[in-house]
Amino acid sequence: MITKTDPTSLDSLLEQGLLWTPTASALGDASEWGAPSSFVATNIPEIDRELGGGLQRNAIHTFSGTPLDTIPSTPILLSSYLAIQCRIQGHDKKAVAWIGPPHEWPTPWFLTQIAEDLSPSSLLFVQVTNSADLLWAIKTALSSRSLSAIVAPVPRLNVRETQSLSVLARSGGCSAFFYRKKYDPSPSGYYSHWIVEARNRENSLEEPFRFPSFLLSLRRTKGKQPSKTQWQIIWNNRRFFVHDSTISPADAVPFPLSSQPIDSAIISRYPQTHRSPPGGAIDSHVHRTA
Amino acid sequence: MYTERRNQREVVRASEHALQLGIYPHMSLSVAHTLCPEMISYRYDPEAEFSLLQKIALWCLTISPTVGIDSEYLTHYLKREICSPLFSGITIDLSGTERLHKGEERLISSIEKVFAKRGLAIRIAISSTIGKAWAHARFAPRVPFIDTSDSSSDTLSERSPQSTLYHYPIAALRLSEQLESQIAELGIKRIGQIFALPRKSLLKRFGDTLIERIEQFEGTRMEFIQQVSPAPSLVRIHNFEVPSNSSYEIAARAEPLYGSLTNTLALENKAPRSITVLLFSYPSQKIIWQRELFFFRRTTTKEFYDLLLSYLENNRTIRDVCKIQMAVLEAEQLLNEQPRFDGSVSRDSDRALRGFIGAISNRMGRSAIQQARVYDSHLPEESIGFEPIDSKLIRSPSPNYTIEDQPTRPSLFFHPGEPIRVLALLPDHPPKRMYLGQQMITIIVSFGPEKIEEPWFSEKQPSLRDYFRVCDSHGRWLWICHHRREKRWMLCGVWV
Repeated sequence: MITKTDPTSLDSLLEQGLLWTPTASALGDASEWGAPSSFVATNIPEIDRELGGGLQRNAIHTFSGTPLDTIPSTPILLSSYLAIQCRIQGHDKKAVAWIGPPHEWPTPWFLTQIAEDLSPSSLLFVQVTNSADLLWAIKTALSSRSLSAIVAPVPRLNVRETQSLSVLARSGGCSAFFYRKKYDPSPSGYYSHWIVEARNRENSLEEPFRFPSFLLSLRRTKGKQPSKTQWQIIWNNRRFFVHDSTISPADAVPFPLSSQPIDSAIISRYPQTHRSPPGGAIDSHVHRTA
Repeated sequence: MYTERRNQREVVRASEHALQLGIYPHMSLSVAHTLCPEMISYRYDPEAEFSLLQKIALWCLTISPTVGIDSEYLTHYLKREICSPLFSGITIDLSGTERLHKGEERLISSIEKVFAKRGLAIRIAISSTIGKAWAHARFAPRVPFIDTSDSSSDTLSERSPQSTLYHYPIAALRLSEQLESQIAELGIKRIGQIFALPRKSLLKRFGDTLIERIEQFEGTRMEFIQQVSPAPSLVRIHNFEVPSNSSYEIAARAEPLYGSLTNTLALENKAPRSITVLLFSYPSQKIIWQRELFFFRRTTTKEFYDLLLSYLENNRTIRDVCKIQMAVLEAEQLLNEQPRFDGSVSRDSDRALRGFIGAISNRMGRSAIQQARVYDSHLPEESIGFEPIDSKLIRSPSPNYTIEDQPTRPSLFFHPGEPIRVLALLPDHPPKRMYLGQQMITIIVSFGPEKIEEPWFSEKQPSLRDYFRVCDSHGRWLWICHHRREKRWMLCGVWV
């Protein structure tokens, strides 16, 4: 019985085997015993490698576009992509919710392109009409413990409120991806801030720029700052990948304009199931971004 | 009342006055209007008629415990057929209730008073068998009709020309229109004539249906009443002794009402899906607060208490509440919850998800939470959509999306889209410049057109559309559409 031992001596309890301390070596990798990893892999190896495995899970990340956009389409879609990744990589397969006006919801076309085996029942869309409802819906979603991720426009909040949202996300086991039109440098409790800018390429007829591309920049993040903070991303209507000048355009654009089949170079180069281990070795087949 | 049959309006039901003017069922409505220009006609609603009959039958349960809507009417109603007005009636078994009503005449007069008060004309007859009572109620020259003859001693009364029954038409035997016309072809028009014929030859010629009806008429063959039973009451009311201002007290009083409702539904293995709560004020007895609450999972009384309290706490208009009324608007069948074999969603997270959906629905309305749908259509706006969530969809895994042979489609879609103005080098060519409001957008790359046409059989004139995938000078990829017939351009979607 624990009551019979000296409660002041923790070491003695451990020696007697009355306390068990799970160590990293005893448990192994989180994914091995069923718990979701503490990272959400973006499945873009260059970014995952720099971030030490991906974006922090159960935290809030913001994505800003450019003020020129009428709708921050690129931040919305990148947020949606990462939210889906949260569900795919989580072992409990919880639902994903989009909170916002209907014209900012991604189309089922886009969602099916990200993951073919998604069930519509796992994707919820919450229509909000005012900022009070938006904040209430975000808080309810974060604390419901039934969602793996949410995507929503950034509510207008002060630092303390953003911190309370971050606490809700952590305790509720839900990642949040917020988007806005313009980057806001004011302090906040969110985990990371990203800027997404569409690329102005005069040579857009050249491959791979026949597909939408954008510049992804990491502005601020908690924890260790990565050495590289900018990547040029291409969306080939099937998946995101970093443009690498060492890859020939023919290899980089497999579908649908190229004559090559879908399972050509770029897909095999970056398999969808690929995850960079936290702090692990860099895959030899991944090229560095130019 | 009329219905539409083969693009023609046909009279289905007519009032007594209309019948006297020569308007009868199956007559064309235009002919009826000619006969009586001031006639008022309504579209016949079988549901409403059935509902009224059901209400009357339920009221008749105060007369006798065995009451039923006529089986012929029910058969037609279930087959969605319009039956003759003769068949709409109610049968009451009065056996053993004579002492309760202190005489049949007294009972009939009290029933007639009740219906007359509501402006309903009825024909009542009491007889020894269902068949005879049915015939008397419809064809007796004078109603109310009480058949005093004893069935055992008077089985052959219909064969006697002095009997009332002898002169009743064949229809008094509750025959189908087809059988009735077959018998009429032989020149048989009265019940007395058919009873005079040997049963063997009738069986050979018309089958067992006629014999069955004759025997039921005589009381030699068993006949059952399809009894109506009152639905369990799904309304609960609590009256306060002293008007209350306390939201805690109101919620506490409402909690057992909800418990009682769930217990009633649980007998049928159901649970409330939506409930309406009404609060009445003292002394005006007016509704001061009304709320519809949605439940997407089994909700305990404690959870209901918390939910109701969350609404009442911040509402300062709720004062002097003297009555709570709660009614189940929608109930659903509960399935036994089994853990999923595929392990896709654990029971706990499924329960939590239903709680989240319920919370959103209760605050922002049921249509606030939606799910994506994919349809099989070549038209972009018809191939995808968002619809309010359905609890069945949460419960059972739906068919997955498929992207086989899916053409390139934008990530954000706008329907019907934003109108734009464009400049192109040549007609039907992709634009080089477009204007979205006051904003000028230079297009540097374009792909298309992807030609999509509406089906030729659509009601409106099918539109011809050319869709272009264009990239502007800022690197944004847009999906624009040229409606060729209407000669207008729309911005329909955006990629990243």
